[in-house]
Amino acid sequence: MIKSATKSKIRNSREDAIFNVITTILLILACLVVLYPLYFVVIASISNPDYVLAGEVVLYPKDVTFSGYRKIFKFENLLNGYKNSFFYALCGGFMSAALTLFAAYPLSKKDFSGRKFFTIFILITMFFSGGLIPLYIVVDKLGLRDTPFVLLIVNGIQVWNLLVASSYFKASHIESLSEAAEIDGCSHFGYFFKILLPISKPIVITMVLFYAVWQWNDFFRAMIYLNKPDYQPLQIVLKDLLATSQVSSAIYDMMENQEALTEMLRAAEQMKYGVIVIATLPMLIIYILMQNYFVQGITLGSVKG
Amino acid sequence: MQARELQLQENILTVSSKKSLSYRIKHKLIVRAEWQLYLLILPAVVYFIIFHYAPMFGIQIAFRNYSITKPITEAPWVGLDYFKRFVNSSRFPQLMQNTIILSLYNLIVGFPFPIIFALILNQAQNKRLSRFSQTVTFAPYFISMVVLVGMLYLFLSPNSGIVNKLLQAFGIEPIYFMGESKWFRHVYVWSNVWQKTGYQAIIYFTALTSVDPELYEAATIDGASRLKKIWYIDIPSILPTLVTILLLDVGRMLNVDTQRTLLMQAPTNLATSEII
Repeated sequence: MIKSATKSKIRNSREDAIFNVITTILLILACLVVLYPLYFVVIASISNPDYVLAGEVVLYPKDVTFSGYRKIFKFENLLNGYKNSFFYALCGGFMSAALTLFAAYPLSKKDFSGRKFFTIFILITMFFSGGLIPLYIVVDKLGLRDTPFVLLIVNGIQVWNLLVASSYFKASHIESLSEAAEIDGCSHFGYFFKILLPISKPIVITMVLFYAVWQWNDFFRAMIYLNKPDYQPLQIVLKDLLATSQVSSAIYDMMENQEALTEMLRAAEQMKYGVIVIATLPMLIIYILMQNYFVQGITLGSVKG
Repeated sequence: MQARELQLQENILTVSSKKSLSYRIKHKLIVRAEWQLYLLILPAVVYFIIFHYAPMFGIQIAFRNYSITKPITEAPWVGLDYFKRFVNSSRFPQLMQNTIILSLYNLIVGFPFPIIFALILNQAQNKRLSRFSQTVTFAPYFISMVVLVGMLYLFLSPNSGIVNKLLQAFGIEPIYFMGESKWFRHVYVWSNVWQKTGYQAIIYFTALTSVDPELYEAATIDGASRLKKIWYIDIPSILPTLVTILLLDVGRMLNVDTQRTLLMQAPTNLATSEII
């Protein structure tokens, strides 16, 4: 009896060991699959383009040069796009987060008389939509087309985020706290701004981050509603640069005209890698600094959703 | 007698008026408090009316012979004419087939990956590695669609991309992944896996971390192997989440990611990349 128990224990521990090795290998593999392309982009952006084109840059940069970046920083469209995207992400992030949180509070209040109506009112928009063309007509009629506001407003409040924020408020709602505030003559405004928001810092940060990242990465709305180059966000500039198999005219503009065609092709690739690094770095830095909030945001949504 | 009755009546009156007064105060309080709630939700409501409900009325252009110069309401009704034309058009079968194949492929490949990954994360004994790989695999989620597709173009380029260079090292002819229509679906689906697995795994992983550790202890005492623990403890505990996400995914099946497709489309791969 005892013997067989120890035997099974031994068998189990050996199985455990094998299992641990396998999980470790798989996890490292997953990390490599994700990290390598990113790493490659970085080393390709600072290597001599000749080596990159020849496929000799694989594990480490060769003949390090920053000429690609120097060329990129001379390209005004890109810098302008960078500036615009920064503005959209900052303003859009705070504005959308504010409106979302404002609306989330009444929806989380159990004794709010319009709660049921407004919840359904908002949920409907999640499942039915008028489609792109009617929305375009509305935007056009309001005179928002080709203004920077269109990017801040269209899709400025997302139902999913609203539900996440509302369920967070519901979960962190402390009956005695809100009652005490009410007895002390604290209005809903007072309670919301002075008590609830300060104790709900995680959700405030999560909302701002989610909206800001989304603003930074979205290109579709700008493509539809914005034609003026002055207001174009970074992603539109990138789209012309990257999402094409040929050397685009945009790349051509970046070069000084006297450069030979082969020289141009050579540098174009390097610049593409550099552009990817520059466009992605801000978001990755924010992610690394704030990763707990992002994880929290997803988790919150999944609990109730 | 009469005086007493009057007195009584007066008493009743004062009581009732007192009651109504207190009722009024309370009522007023509620109303005063509620307008603030309404004010808080007002901007969102206005937003949803203008940018979601108003376009819904615009959907009628699908049934009208609309021209840009005239207001919608004046355009003549044409009923289901446009739908008939669309369904009868020569491209319709191809479009429908492309859409369905792409979304089914995406679902079948994309759905199990996050679950398997979350199970591995949860089983890993090395917690630091587990935490690290969670962080790493979530990162691609922050890469924009444009940049992702740009990276695909660079890596998969037939003459300079690293993938084809590696293939050449093994003596395989370079493949024009982004141009050939037979590769479109694979590139679409697997780049999606690369980008989204870490993000989606978090949902399952959270469900797994809330499993009562006593269950594992009990299973260990009963001599259950690791695989058995996964099968009998982990899987059932994430089943509700799994079913919800599966239902959501199936519901979204026909909404193939337009933006991604738009960016990846090229005249040469239209045979498989054209979708609804």
